[in-house]
Formats: sequence, C-alpha cells, structure tokens
Amino acid sequence: MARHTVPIGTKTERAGARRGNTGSICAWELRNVVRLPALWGFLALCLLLNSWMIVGTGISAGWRDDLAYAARTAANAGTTVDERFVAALAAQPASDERDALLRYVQSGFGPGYEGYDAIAAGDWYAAVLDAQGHPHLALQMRLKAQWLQSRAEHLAATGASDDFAAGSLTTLLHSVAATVVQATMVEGMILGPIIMLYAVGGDRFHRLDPLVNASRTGRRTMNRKLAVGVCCSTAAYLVIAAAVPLVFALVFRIPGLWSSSVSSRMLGVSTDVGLQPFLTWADFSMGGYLCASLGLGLLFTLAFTLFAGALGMLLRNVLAAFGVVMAFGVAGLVAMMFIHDALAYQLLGIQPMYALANASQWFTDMGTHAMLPWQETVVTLISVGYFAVALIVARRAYSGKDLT
Amino acid sequence: MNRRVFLAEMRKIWRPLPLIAALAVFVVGALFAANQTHLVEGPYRNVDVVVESAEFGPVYTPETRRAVQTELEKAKAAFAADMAADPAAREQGVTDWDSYHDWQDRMIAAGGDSSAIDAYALSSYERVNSLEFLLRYAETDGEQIRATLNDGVCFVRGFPQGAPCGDVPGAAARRIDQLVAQAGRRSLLGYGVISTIQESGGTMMVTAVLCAMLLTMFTMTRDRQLRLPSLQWASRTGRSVRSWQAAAVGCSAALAALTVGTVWAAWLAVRLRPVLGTGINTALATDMPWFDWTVLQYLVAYAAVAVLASLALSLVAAWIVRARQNYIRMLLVAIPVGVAAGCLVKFRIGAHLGYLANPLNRLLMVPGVETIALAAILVLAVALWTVDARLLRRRELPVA
Repeated sequence: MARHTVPIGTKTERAGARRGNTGSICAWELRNVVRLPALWGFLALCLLLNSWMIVGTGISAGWRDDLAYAARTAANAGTTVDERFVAALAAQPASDERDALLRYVQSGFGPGYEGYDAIAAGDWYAAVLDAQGHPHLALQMRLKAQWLQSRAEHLAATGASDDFAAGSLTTLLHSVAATVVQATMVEGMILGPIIMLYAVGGDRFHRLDPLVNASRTGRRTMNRKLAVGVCCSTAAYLVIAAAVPLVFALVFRIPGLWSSSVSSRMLGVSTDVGLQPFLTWADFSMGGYLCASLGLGLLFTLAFTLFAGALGMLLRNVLAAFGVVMAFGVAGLVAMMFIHDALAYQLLGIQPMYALANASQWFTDMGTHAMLPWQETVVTLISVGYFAVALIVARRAYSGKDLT
Repeated sequence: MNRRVFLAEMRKIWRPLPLIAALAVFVVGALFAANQTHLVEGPYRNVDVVVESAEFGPVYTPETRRAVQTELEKAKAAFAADMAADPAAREQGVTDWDSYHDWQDRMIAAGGDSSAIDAYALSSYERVNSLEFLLRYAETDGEQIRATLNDGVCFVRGFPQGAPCGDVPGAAARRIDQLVAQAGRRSLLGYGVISTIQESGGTMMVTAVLCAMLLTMFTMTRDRQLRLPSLQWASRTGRSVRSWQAAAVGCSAALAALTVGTVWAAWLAVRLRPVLGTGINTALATDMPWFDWTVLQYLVAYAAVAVLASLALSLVAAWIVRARQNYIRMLLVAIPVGVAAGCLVKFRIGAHLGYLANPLNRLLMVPGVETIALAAILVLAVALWTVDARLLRRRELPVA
C-alpha cells in the first residue's frame, strides 16, 4: 500500500507554523479562563469587599468629623508639624477636634523622633532572645538595632519625622491599609491557585486529556497553560490591587497625605518595648508604601499560583490540589501565630505566610520577627523561588507520565 | 421514605477526602478556640477565675457578704504584714492598705515615683483588690441595676453611653424588671468565664458551620462530573432524588455540628466544673442576659445554636452551589458563600449569644433573636429546596 505523505514545507515555514500554533493555543487557553463568568463575579466581590472596608472607615460616624478636621488643618496650617504648625493649630477656633489634635501632635515622640532609642529597644529584644537560649540571634538583633538607629538619624535629618500625614488618624489609616492589604493577599492566595488549576486542569473536566495528549503538539500545550495561568492570576491580582490606592485616595482626601513620609512621628506602632516610630528601611511616602505593599502581595500571589500549578500537574484531582494549597497556607499562618520560640519562628517562617502574618509592619524592623532588613521581601522571593523549582520538577514529571 | 436512596446520598457525603478536610478545619478551629480562654487573669499573679467564681458559692446572699468581708479583713491584714516586711514601705511610713493608697495619691499629685513600693506584685494586694471589686459590684441595689441595664439598652439602640433614649422596648423592659426582682439572688461568676464561653463558642460555631459545608457542598457537583443525573432520571425514584439529597445534606450538617459542639462543650465543661451550676446572671458583669441559665445550660445553648446554624446555612449554601459544571466554578461560588456564612455566624449569631449585646438586638430586641434569625434562614432553605425539587421533576432533560 502506498504511503501518503503530507508536504511539510521548508524549515522557515515549519517554524512559522509553530509560532502561529503557539500563539493560537495561548489565545484559546486565555479565552477559556477569561470567559469564566464566575471568575468575574468573584473579582467583583473582592473589589466590593475591599472598597467597603476602606469606605466604611472613612465615612463612619466616629471618624468622619476627625477626617474633615484633619483635612482643614492641613490646608490651613501646613503639612509639617513644627512650632509654626502648633501655633496655627492652637489659633484655630476651640473645638473637641482641635484639642484632641493638639494633644496628639504634642504627645508621643518629639521632633526628630526625640525620646526614641533604637539601641535600647534592640538591647531589650536581644535580652529576650538570650533568655530563650539564642545568643547568635541576640547578636544579630543588636546589629539590626544599629542599622535602625542610622535610619532614624537619616529620616530625622530629611525632616520625614515631622510630616503631618493624617494627624491623629495616621495610625488608623495605617491599620486600615494593613487590613486591606492582608485581605487583598488572601484574595490573591485563593484566586491565583483557582485560575491556575483551571488553566492546567480544565481539559480534565471535559475528558479531553487523552485527546490532547495523543499528539506531540497537545503534550506541549501544558507550558502554554502554565504561562496563561500565571499571567491571568497576576492580572486578576492587579485588578484587585489597583482599586485599593484609588479608593483610598478618594476617601482620605487630606492635602499632602499621600506624599508625606510613612515614617512620620504621627504614626506610632505599639510593640513589646512600647511605642515606636514606623521606621522603614527605605524612604517611603504613604502612597509609595501602599503601592510597595501591594507589590509584595503580587509576589505572594505568584508563590501560591506556582504551587497550585505544580500540584495541578501532580495530582489528578483539582479539589485535592486546591485543598493542599489552602492547607499549606493555613498551616503556615497557624505556625506564625502560635510559635513563640524565635529560632523556630525564623525557620518555619521561610514560607509566604510569614509575610501575611507580619503585614502591618512590612519594610520595618519588626522586632524579634525579623533578623534582617527586608526579611518579608526576601522570604517571599525565596518562596517564589522554591515553588518555581517545584513547578519545573512537576512539569518534567508530567512529561514522563505514561498514561494520563 | 426511600431509605436506600437516603443512605446512598449519605455515603456520598461522608467520604474520606471531605472528612479529612473537615477534620483539618476542626483541628485549626480547636487551636483558635483553646487560645480564646480568659480563665487565668492578673498581670503579676495568675488568678484562676473559675476558682474565684466558685469560692463564695453560686448565689450572693447576706451570708456570702459576711464571708467576703471576713476574707477582706484577712487579706488586708496580710497586706499590712507584707508592708511591714518591705523596707521601702517602712521608709515611707506605709503600714496598711489605707496608708498605702494615701501615700500613692500624694506621690502622684507631687509627680513622684509611685512604683517605689512595688505593691502590685504582691498576692495580698491582688486579693484585696479583687475582694473590694467584688463587694463594690455585688452591693449594687435594684435601682442601680435598673439604671445600668437601661443604659445598656440605649447603647444597643445606638445612643451614646449615658444618654437617655426614651421608652425601653417591651421585652427588654420586662426582662429588666425580672432582673431587678432578682437583685438579691445574683451569682459571683467572673466575667472571664462568660467571655471564654462567648469567644470560644463563636469560634466553635464557625468551625461547625465550615466543617458542615466542607462535607456537603461538593456532592452534587461531583454527581454532575460523574454524569449521574442522566442515570438518576431514568427511574421514578431517581427523579425524586433532589429531596433525598437535601435531607442528606441537612442530616450530615447537623451531625457534623453536633460532633463539634459536643467536643467543645465537653472540653469547657471539664474546665468549668466548679461553676457549672452557677447562674450567668452575675453581679460582676453589666451586660443583660435574656435567660436565667446556668453555665452548663449556656454551654448546651451554644452547641444547640451551632447545630441549628450549620443545618440552616449548609442547606442554603448547598442550594446556592448545587451542581456546578466543574469544581472550579463550584469553588468560585462556594468560597464567597462560606466566607459570608462564617462572618454571619462569628459576628452576628455567635457574638454574645443570649445577651443584649448581641448585634441582632439592634434589629429586634427580643429574647432568642439569634434562634429566630436562624429559624428564618432554615425556613427559607426548606422553601428553596422544595421549589427546586418540584421544578426538577418537570424538567425535560438534566443539564449535562
């Protein structure tokens, strides 16, 4: 019997056909994900929830008047808390809001973080670590305290400590922002894996796996699915995250707020050693800090997305894969909440939930929860790294499977 | 009733993987609930609230008052002995409780260091403090109790603390009259006991609801994935399967919640053994209880409401999720439903259950408003499933 052959064209034509196939496969995989109505519904719910958290604080009866007064004060007295500012504030018509704001700006730390001693705080933390039997960690804590002291001196020299920000509402604003960032991270942690599992395991729902894997082209679609899964998860998180600074800017309209330093002495953080200023390892404005936090949330989402991709290829059950991802997350969070030994905390903290558990203090010293500057960023990057390795290993294992 | 179909549906729900997931949620919930106990208090000395609550008996009577006053005198004598043994106290001329407080007031007024005498670390100081606190609150008369409870009603209705708010609603007014009449029969139950039951009970209820949902929300989607509806439709028995599925969901949710609630109640009952028979209408708390329960009855009430909440919310959630095309669509619907149910139970139903401080009293100030709300949700769930079952019988072909 004569064999029928199909002309396969020149090398260039074959390469062009492959690129076209790749492009169309990616387009089809993207359509599969984007045309899922429940996904858009979930996104809308996330946006509504985050917006409600921000708007609810801004317009609640307890804070509305304080917010309006802070805006008027910034417009009239300026955005730098110095003697001229205090005099201008005292000259404003007498009211409960004026008196409360006067008390607030004159309490806490003085100009240039007067009254704050980073070395003394570091020594206190080091004593705790020594008592736990970790002298090497105590040494690291003292070293970190020296770096922090130099940061405090730099920020004081640049005048960052005297920015008005949101006045007495600065701590509330920071607390709300941290809560919203945490909510955004949890939403990304759930949505990212779901999108990835749908991209990777979608064919299984329609029993198309055997058909797809019957050809070489089909077996290679897994890489496209993974790429589409990562891109769509990232895009979904960015949609959720982009709304956060927008809504904040609409609700908290205080002149100079978003360009003022996040290390202003208006923002005091309660720690084990008492009130501390919010000293960041780099110079951040309030707006810049919020955006940087959301950026770290993107890495957090990426870590879980990669993990879900690896599990989606290894496990045949999408629900089981999602369950394992969530179980890992919950176990990581529980470890961060209930482990008190410093060394165990550091070792068990090399996972993404370390960042979620410490979201209110990112890019600062974080007390005994961090031994290094930028530790939350380093840990999240390491997590992305090892989940990426897991994904590559899983992809290779998937390629070597005999039957689907 | 078709017992075979019902049991088959139950076997579909109680499978290994959902059971493992529910067990994992139970373990995490138990960890959180165990950390929400407030039975040991005091900044320096670990005061056992349960032992303190049981010390003078379940009811505050004139005999109890005499016993407390006797103990107070002993404690003040012990404090005086501690002051006599403290060189700093001798130097300052502090010899007893009254002279200590006089000295402290003088030091504070003059801007001096009032921690020169470290009285706070003394167990005798803690003892005198707690007995004086007890006497101060236990000795309030009926009219003071009425004024405090009226303030509570106004606060729940959204008025600032201490501001008048007009007439008290009927049910609340009747309950205040009852409590005023019982002024001489209140208990000395520490607020730490009540807050422990309420906080850990709220977490227990969330755990129960989530365990129930994890078991019951996936079954119909799994059936659809396995192409079972077309098989079910082939027979008359199969076409009535939706009712049995709903019944199986309800029974499974109730059973799961009963297990969680029983374990929680048993764990706390062991810890609260000395005060199980003590009334929750205590002189040491200002929030108004709607019922004259004992501690044991309060534990049982929390567990029972957890069962009702799991039953109602699981039925509603299972109806909302039903048979989705695939597990991903199911997750995208089930997760927001689960989060909403958890928030409802934690912040509205389980918060201060049976007390005026429960947020639902802002909408309807009647005893058992939480149970009324859950009963309404259950009625809604039954109606939804009934309509769904009827509509399914009329459908031409099942959705593939």
